[in-house]
Amino acid sequence: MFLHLGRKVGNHPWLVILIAAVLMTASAIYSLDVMRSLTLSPGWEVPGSGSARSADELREHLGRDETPVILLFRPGIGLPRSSGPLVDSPAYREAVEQVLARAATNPDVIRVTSYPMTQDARLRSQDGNLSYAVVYLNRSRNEGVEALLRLRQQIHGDRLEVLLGGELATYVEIRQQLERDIWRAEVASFVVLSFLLVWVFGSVTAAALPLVVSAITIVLSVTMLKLCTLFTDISVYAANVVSMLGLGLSIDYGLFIVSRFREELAKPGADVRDSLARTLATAGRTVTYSGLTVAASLFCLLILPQRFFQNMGLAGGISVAAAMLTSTLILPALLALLGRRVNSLALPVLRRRLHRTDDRGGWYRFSRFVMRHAAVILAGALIMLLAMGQPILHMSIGPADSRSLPATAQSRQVQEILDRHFPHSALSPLVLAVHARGPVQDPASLAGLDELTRGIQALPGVQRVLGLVSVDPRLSLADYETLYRYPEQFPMATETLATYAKGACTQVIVNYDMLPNSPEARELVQRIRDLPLPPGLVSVHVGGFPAFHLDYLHSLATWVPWVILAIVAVICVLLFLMLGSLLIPIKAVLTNLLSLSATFGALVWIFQDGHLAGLLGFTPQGSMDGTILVLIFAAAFGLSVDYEVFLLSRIREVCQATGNTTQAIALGIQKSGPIITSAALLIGIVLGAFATGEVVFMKAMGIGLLLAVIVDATLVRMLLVPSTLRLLGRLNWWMPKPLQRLYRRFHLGERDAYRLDP
Amino acid sequence: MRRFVPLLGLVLSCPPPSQADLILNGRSTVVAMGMQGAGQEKIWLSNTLIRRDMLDRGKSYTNLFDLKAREVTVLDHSLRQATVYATDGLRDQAGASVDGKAIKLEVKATGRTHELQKWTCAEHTLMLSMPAEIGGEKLNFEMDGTVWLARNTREQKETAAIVRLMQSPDFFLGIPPLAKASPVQARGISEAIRRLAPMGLLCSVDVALNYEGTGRVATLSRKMASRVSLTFDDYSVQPIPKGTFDVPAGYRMVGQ
Repeated sequence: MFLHLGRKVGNHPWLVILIAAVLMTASAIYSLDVMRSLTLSPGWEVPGSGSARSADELREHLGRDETPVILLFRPGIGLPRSSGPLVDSPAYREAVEQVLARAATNPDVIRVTSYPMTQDARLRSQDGNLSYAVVYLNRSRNEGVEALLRLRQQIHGDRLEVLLGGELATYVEIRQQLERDIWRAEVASFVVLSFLLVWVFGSVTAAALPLVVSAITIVLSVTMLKLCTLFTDISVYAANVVSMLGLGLSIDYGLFIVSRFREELAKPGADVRDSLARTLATAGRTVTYSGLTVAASLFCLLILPQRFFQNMGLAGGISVAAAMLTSTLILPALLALLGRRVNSLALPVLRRRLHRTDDRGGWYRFSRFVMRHAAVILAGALIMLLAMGQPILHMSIGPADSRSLPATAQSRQVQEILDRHFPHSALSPLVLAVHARGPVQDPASLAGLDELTRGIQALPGVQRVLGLVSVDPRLSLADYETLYRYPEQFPMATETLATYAKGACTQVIVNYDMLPNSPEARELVQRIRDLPLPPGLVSVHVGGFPAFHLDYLHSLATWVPWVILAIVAVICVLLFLMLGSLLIPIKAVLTNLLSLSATFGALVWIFQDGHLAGLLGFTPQGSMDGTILVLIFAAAFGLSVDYEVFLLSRIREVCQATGNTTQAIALGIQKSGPIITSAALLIGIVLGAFATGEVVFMKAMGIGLLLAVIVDATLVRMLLVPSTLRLLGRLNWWMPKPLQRLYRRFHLGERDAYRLDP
Repeated sequence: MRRFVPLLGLVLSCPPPSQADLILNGRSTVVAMGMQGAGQEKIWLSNTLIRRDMLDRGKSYTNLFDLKAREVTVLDHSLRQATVYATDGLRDQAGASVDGKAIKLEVKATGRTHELQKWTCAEHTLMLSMPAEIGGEKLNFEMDGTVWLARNTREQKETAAIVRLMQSPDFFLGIPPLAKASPVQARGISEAIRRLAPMGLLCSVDVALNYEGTGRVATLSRKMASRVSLTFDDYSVQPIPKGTFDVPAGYRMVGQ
């Protein structure tokens, strides 16, 4: 098939280029405004979970679709000193109200609670010099992000410094910092990659080809991403994945194809079309199956219920598929047109690199050495990997917070000020959506609500429960029944009903005295969920940040094993169909799992335990963000398999031609080693550039993937792979008879009897 | 609830036509059910037009009263929309059937005074009582507290036209949400405004609202300890731009 494809493309390169040009132009025009089609909402919520159902019920039944933002008021230069607490001075109050008055005309603002308005002690600092307001913004389509950006334009104070904080502000700042980091990383890596490619190829023309492939890949991926927005919400993070993976993988694939083409072309008597056909039959085929494997492992993220992961999987799969298509269709057409001119514009100092065809080089000698001491080296490599993975044993999963941002970020400053000066702030309350059997004012509903409220109040760590039957602690259940029977006689009762209830649905707010991202807060959520449902009530759904995070962790614990299983199964099947081996796919998966555990161990050591925090410039949070781990797992597993496929396919190719496994291993490593190392170096540059970002999330992603590539390129490929292959010997290609029949029928190898030289 | 006490203030401050316009700045507070809400109030008065700007839980609203036309327009600035209400309709909603004579108002000077710029504000005890019936329980709705009034001021002498308008037995002045949500209280407040208007300009008021009786509603009312207050911090006499009392351009008129 690939041989045939190579010949077709070689015969009609202009046609392929023409079709590609038309497609590219249309794609570029279509996807110009792609960012407007993407949602700023990350989609981390778990559909159907308690926290999601709480939000849904409150939105549907109470019309509550709001998100809180903290406005911290710090005295500025123009504010006169006060003899008593500053926050109680008329000047401070006036300055706060001046700021809030500007926000009051904002249609996104649903309501505001401030210290001057309520005299609520939780809203003022212990020393009386600071206070904060909670502005509830309309969440709308973009989780309130656009509303926050509009609010930010309005809240400057003449005599006060106004700082924005809270979960939404942190998210927006992280997002904006990420945009800056990613842009910087992309520009830097593109420049460095350009020079490195010239160094790797020794020729400017050859070096330009992977860059052209990556540009086409990104345009195609973005177009496909925009098409996907016609059917589902796609987060803006997906665009970052497309650019990161698209750039990295298309350069990898381009490198493999161009290298092989030049290798084929360098053989005595080779012509361009034949070389191209042989390139596609070998490297093209490998790129395709490697791409299929990486895409399939990324598509496995679709198993997770969160839209965020589904978006990441979709975007990753799309960019891999685009890189694969571009490398196997458009790049060969360009190579056919260039022919031997692919080596043109060679730099004199690098000209020597153009003609390296040594079959007995350093890689060959090193792999022979490893195979001679296979058992010892295997044991040593395994010990090293297991030692690196050891910190996983104390890995703790927790949510990212404002400490993910640099210390200069405003939302982080707000959080630190609140932690230090506001001991009783209640910024992330639990929000319960309660559904009664009848209207909430009915005595039976109120009795049920009262029982629930008392049950929650009795739980350790609960400070205050606010709801229809607990707004005023002096009132009894009988009082509340009277109150809500005649709410029109008591204006505050009318307002309370409007605030907390509609029909059979009501909202209960729970304040607690623990950190919102602590395990204790999540335990409280679980305890509330474990409370018996009082008669009169139909359902109680607990929402709010700790509940969201509990559901998130629960979802990961439930679904990640399935994702891992799916990735492993997909990779095993694809490698089996490609290599015709039973044990090699299993070995590859186990090796990759070991390599990943070493990477995760290093990540825990760095990011959770805080080693190298000063050097890398971040604040350790004492836990790992589960999102990062899942993304690193899917991407790194794919990348590791990617390199494994390149190496094994080359070994298989030589083995088929020579029948000597040991020789095939050494030659395969010699032939593919430099290219794979160059590829790893190139993708390492891309990932390393992302690791220079200011946000811990991006830093951990970059460093995690970089570590995975380094571990793979050194311990795994240089030591583990040759030693295990040597020890397995002929077992490498062993298959039970039924599987042999299956392989013969469905194998993904070339059906053309095309003889390949070793 | 916070909405109606300033109403008391704005009507008591009405200047007559052809007089320089009056602008008052103050703060209102309501305490009930263990909660407190406080906010800024700004009131403009010109002829028989009154404008009241307020921030209610972070939202900006304006009430435009045209006493002659017996209309009140509510502006929601965040939604940029305006709703016009006829005060006669509000009166009907607010239980106009309650006989005005059954509403008792006692105002007694205590002798204490304080200065608000050029005004001398004198403290008075205020006690309003009116019959009410809730769920078959006979009660008295009561407003009990203090009111500070400035008499013999130049501005007070000039409120005659407004006060005259208020003396009509079917006069009603109310805020639409209050008239709809708490008709008995709206009726009582309107009557209090009508009777206090000739007595002076309001400097501040602080009253407890209560239902008195022996049944469960009365017991509940005592426990709730509702209290409302309004204090003007300053006033100024200056011409008000004409458009101040108009619905701003671009606002959408909506039905009630």
